[in-house]
Amino acid sequence: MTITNTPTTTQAVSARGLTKVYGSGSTAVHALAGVDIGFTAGRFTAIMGPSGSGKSTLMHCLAGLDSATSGSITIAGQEITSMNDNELTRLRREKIGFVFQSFNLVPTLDAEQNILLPLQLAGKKHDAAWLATVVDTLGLGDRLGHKPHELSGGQQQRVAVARALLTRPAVVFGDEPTGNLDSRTGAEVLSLLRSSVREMGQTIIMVTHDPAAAGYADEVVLMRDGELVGHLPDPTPEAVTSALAGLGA
Amino acid sequence: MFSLALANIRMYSRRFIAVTLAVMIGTAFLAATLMVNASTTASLERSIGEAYQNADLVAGISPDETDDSVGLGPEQLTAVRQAPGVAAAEAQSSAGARIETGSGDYNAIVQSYGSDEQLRTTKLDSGAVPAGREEITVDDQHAKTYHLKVGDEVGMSGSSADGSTVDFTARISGITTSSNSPFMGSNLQVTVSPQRYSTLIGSDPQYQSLLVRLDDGTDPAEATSAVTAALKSAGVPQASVMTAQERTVEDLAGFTGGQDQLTGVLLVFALIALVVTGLVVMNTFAVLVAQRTRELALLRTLGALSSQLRRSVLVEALVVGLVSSVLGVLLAIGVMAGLVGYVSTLPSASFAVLAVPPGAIIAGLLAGTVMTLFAAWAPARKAMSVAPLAALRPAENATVHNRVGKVRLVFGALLLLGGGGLLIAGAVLGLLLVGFAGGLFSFIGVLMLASLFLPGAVRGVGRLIGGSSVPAKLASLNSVRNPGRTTATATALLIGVTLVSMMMVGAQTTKQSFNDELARNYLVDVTVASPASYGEGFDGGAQPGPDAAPGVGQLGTEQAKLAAGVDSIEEVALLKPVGRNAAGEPVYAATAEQLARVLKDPSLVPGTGEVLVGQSTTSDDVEVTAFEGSTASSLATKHSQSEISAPLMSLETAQQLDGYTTGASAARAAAEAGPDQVGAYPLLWLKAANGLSTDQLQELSSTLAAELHVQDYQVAGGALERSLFNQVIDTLLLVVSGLLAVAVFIALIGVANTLSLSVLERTRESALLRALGLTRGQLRSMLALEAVLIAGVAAALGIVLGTAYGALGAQSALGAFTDVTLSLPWAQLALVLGVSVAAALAASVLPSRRAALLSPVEGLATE
Repeated sequence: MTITNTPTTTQAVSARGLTKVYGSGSTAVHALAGVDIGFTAGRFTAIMGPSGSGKSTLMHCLAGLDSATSGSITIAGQEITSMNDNELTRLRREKIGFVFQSFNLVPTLDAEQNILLPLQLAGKKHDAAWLATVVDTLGLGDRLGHKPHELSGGQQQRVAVARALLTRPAVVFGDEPTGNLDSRTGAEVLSLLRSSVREMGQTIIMVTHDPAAAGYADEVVLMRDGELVGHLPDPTPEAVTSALAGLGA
Repeated sequence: MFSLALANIRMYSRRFIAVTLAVMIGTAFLAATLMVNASTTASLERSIGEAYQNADLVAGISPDETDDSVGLGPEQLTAVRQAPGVAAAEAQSSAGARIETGSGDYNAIVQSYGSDEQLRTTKLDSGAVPAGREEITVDDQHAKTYHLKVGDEVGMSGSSADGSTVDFTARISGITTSSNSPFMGSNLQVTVSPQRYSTLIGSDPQYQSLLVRLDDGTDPAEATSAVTAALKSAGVPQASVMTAQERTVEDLAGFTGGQDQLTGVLLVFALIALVVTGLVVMNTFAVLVAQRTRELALLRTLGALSSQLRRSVLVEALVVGLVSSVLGVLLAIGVMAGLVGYVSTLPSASFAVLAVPPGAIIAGLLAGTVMTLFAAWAPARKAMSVAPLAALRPAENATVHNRVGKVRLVFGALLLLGGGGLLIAGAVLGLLLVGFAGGLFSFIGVLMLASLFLPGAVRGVGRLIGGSSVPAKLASLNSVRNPGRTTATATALLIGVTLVSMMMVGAQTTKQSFNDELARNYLVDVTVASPASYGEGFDGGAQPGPDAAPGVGQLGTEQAKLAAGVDSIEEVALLKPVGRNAAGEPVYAATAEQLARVLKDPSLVPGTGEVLVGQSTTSDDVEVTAFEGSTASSLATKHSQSEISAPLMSLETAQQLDGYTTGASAARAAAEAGPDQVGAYPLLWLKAANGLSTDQLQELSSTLAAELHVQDYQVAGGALERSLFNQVIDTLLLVVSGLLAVAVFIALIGVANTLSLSVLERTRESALLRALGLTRGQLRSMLALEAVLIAGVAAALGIVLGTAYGALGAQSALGAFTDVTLSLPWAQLALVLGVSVAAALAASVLPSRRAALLSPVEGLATE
């Protein structure tokens, strides 16, 4: 059971009473209207909902990229809403991995440098065996010396996944990670993400609006108007589609 | 397309701030240069015109007249006075004299106090017109400076062209308004009565010109021919008679020759500033176009012709250039008005006026606008080549590759090699013009090839200092991400720094070489010559020494003691004339011990039987006869590089000369010159303390003059010459560096501009790095390092280049005259590097603040 009102230590990420308000007074928009949620470690969760439901805002707040208006967030046992920018930055590079929809890689660095970037920013040595494993699993062995513009879209996303996994973070956030890919390449990337959960015990939280993508997750969390409105364990694309239809999306 | 261009300027107005500033300063420099010229001319015209202000006509000798005996004298003045239509005529004439006030001796320009009230150019402020032969007036400014007032008595002396001398005590009867005429120089302005003037000007006076006042209602053209005719009948076949206005313009032409050179030099600096500005503008537009690739592609998709896109970019450049130029011209007018306003409060320049010639405004506007358009041309062409499909592709963020045109490469290499060869040839042969041309060509070559070595140098240095730190590594990668832009930014700075360093190294090398030359030429620090030419008028202030003739004002042992008592004087030697050589030149002697103490090079002390001679004497021996001796002694010569003409021996040698005595009769014999001989008087040679500044040396010089009761000019020597020369060079260097600093400043604006545009371009990338764990501090240090890398490498290369140019330039300019000693002003060069790096750091503050404040979420959301 992932949705719970009492976050526990087995949860990689949890939030309580999370609100995010843009503007004030009569023009105030409640992007998040009091969200309580916990994500169990070692699970692949997809957050879904119609446009404007607050799913991206939730992810940004959970990842420490954006600040919440009120409420608390805990990542790997650390309360993050009271952290300053430098503490948040350090948390991100040590405990969190990211895979964005596009523009994932620094154009001046080659694939290997991009993969190593968070560790180097933290001034830490990488585990060579682990790097070899990750690179091998993602099939990037012959692409490490290439610059991003020399890689295909799918290869770029795989480099981003490798980067996210290399730090063995408490959680990997994916923001529409397959949004820019064709369905076959997208399926490859999603399979890789799922196997990292199954085989490496990685925790992954992914925002998507694609029911097919959500079908790779262990469970789906549904949002509407800044609130959690339901969840689907062991989702299939069809079940997700009908659940979304039920939200009036 | 015009409305689109305007909308772009409005929307991205912040991106144009730096480029506007750069164009504004470049344009202002040019316009101000032209205004300096016009204002100086106008001010001169005003002050020259003063001399003719009340005259209707001015008559003079035509410059075509070849007969030297034709002149304007009293005969011609009388003839002009009698010409029809002439109401009055006065001679414009002046004579030189010296005025002794008791506290000093000053040069004066003396004029006759004119009888015609309207033609008189001097105005009496207070007191009375000089009457009789013993009264004079002085001008108020000098009266104030020299503390003179009506009723004071001063000594006045002078000699006229025909050789007669005048020396009398004059009483000041009045004070006149000081004239601003540049003909007066800084001399005391004195008027005397016509009777006295005639004794000063001599029996056959020559006037500069005649000022003519006409009867009311006389036609100037008729009067001109009447005066011309009168002069012709008085023996002046080619007279030049013109109105006061025409004459002013003509006089002015003679004065402005030098100023045109000044304008020319200033224009070169303005041109450098404009070239640097052009590079900054080009960069800005290149980035603006690159940023709008998708927008331009969208317009293409919607049916915009490529020529329309190009025109849109050019219209933007036109508007930006025009607005900046207008601001620049206004800035120039403001600065010049302030300057002229300040200068006109100085008593010696109250005639200064601001002139804003239409040419300066037009040239400023045109240069600023055309330069901006020209610089935007290449980026505009790039805008044209955007394919419609580009709108549909995701934004390309890959490294931009710039190709270097083959033609440019070949030309650049040819210019560099050819120019470098010429430069070296100029240095070896000591030919300044060849060296200058070589320097110019090779520098253009360097600039053309800049894209070959600048990005590589930045990359190399970045790798060296980057190490393993991620921000440093990223900075060094980013700094050469767009080699073309890096090249243009660094080139702008390279130009300024190269020129500044060149001037510094050139100045330092020149100073060092001249100091070495002076050290060879001058045997001692300070020399004091006897005031003997002033004869009886000299008040020694002390008992003449036992060796000096009584009553004759010469330096003696008393003065030597006085000099030794002056602060900063360490050693004193009294040189007395002991005889003459075969050419009749006096030969001096002092004790070997004294000479060893004052000579800068003690090895030059002449030994027994030796005579120290200057570089003009090449023979191996010299004949010397003591003043009261009859037999010449042949003595060996000891050669020095000095230009001194007086041979010198030790007293020990002198005592062995036939007929040597130290009595008064010998001193008299020395002072009395024989036919074709000059009188010989004792000299003091002094050694001053080391390391005195120019001001201290000047003060030492006046203290010595006052203590020893001699005139300032009698105190001279290597130390003074050196400090004066160094002061001139330092002042020149300061002025030139100040002018070049404008170009460096514009280049640094360019660095800030490039950086802030890069930051805008890389918003998403910065946001990604922040999301992945780059702290704000690391982001800021990354951008700061980027700026420092570009500016530091450009400055370092500029210093190396400038040092080479400065050394070779000094060699070509001075090689023909003296041995050039290369000397590097390390502190100044380090300062240039330091200032460039510090300014680059400062330039990165604003852009990196903006980048660091952006939240990762917002950054990732931007396209």
